Amino acid sequence: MKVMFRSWVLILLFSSLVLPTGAQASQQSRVPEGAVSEGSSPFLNKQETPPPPKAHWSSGGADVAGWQKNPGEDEFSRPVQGSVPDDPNEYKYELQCHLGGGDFDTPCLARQLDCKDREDGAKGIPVIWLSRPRGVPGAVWAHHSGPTCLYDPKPEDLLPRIAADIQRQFQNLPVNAGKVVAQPSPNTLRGAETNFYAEAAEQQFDVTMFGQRVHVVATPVQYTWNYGDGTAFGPQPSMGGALPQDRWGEKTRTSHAYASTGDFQVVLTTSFQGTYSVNAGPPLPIPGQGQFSSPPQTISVWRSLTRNYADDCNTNPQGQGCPGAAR
Amino acid sequence: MTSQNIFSSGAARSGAVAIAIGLSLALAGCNSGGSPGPGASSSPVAAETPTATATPTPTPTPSAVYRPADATGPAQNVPVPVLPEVAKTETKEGLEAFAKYWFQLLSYGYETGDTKPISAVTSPDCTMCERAKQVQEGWHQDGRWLAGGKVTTPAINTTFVVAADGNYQVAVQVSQEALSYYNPDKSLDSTEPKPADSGNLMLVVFRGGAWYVQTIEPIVG
Repeated sequence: MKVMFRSWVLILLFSSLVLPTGAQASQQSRVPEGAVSEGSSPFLNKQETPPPPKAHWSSGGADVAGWQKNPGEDEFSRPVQGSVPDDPNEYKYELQCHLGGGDFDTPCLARQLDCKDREDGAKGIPVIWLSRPRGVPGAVWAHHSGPTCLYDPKPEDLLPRIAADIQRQFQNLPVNAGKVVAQPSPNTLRGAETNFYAEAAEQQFDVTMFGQRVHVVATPVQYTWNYGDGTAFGPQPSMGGALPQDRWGEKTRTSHAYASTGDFQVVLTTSFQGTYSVNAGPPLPIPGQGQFSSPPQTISVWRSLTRNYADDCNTNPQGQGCPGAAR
Repeated sequence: MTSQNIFSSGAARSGAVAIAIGLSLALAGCNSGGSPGPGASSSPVAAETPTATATPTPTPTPSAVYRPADATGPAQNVPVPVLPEVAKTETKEGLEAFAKYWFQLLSYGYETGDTKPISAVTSPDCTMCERAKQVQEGWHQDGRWLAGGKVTTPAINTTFVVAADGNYQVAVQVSQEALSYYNPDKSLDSTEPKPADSGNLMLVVFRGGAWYVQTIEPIVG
């Protein structure tokens, strides 16, 4: 008993020695943090503390739940769940140096942006883009960007004309709906969960409308799966995702189980939200969404058959799985 | 360390305790040696704070002239925004005056790093407000400073309808100038250009005879 007791003492003494050392280490590492945040110690290595965050006031609200003005009134409520937010601003342009009416700012005209006429003879007009938040009653127009050049004999008519036509343009763009990936593929089993996911990305296009350079950005927002067996899923906002191979067969948000065997044509339809900017102006929202479909992808659904093999082929060459068995 | 509870030998226990005390004493020594007193600081921010809080004197002396921040140093003698009398009333005009005052306090925070006045009238649940305070305080510490970033409110509008939760809604157009960040070594860290004006919705309650901001969130459409 006595020997046992001594070994206990040793262990306990040892542990009481070890533990404070650990505590010391952690306390030392805490000291610089606390001291630097008080801003009082010039001896500590400040490179270890990250610099303070940088942001304008408005960018601090990028991920904060927002509000929408109720149509026809000045009250606000939370946006409907799942709705794709519109651009919070509205935009217009004015001739650079224009003071209103027939008045121009003469000193401004002296350093006015020089808009070279284009090869096709279109005349360049220097403009300033203005924006204002849409939701605030009585909001005033404020400088957004520019000066930049517009090319049209009557620039004041241009934006509404482009706006009226942009949706049709958008739907006619060669937007890639994305790639269909199935797991497993190209063959899967009847009754098993086959995981489908989309590989769709933001795409950018440059088109010419009414003589203006229009830059279009298309962003995938909704996905619809037509599984080829008469069932469809969507439109819904998830593009799905890849499963590691050892988890194939699990049910996912976008997986599908085929009830019968055969070859099926799977089609992905992706809805894109777009913005367009005229002559490097601000990106304006394209009303509505563009629908684009992927080329059909064939998936073969097989059936699985389970048999037990227990025969000794030497005694029963016709047994299941034996070389002489009828298949 | 809990294993000491089953220990029964008094001598050995006191030994262990002695070792622990010795180590904690050593630790305490280590600790006090690692951080010198705050008196060692000579940052311009620390020197400026008393003048900033002492500004609401009615007659400014020649030495207390307001000077905006620039590349050479932070703003000096920034006047603390004053709450107008009308902003103490539970009226539409009072609420809109309070909203204007609140954004003056926000602007004052970018100029000085002093977030006490705004914190006094704002809930800590306001995420945007807390983020702005982190920028303001962090960039007025250890010799850093901010220049520009002045905040104005070109349009303020409230329906003056009180909701069931006691909140009034105020829609505000917020405009902020380009913001420059200066390092402790007086070098320019970066300048963020003026962003587009944003629309914000303030949720404000009137309680104890004063307006109090519950939260401010973006207007998204």
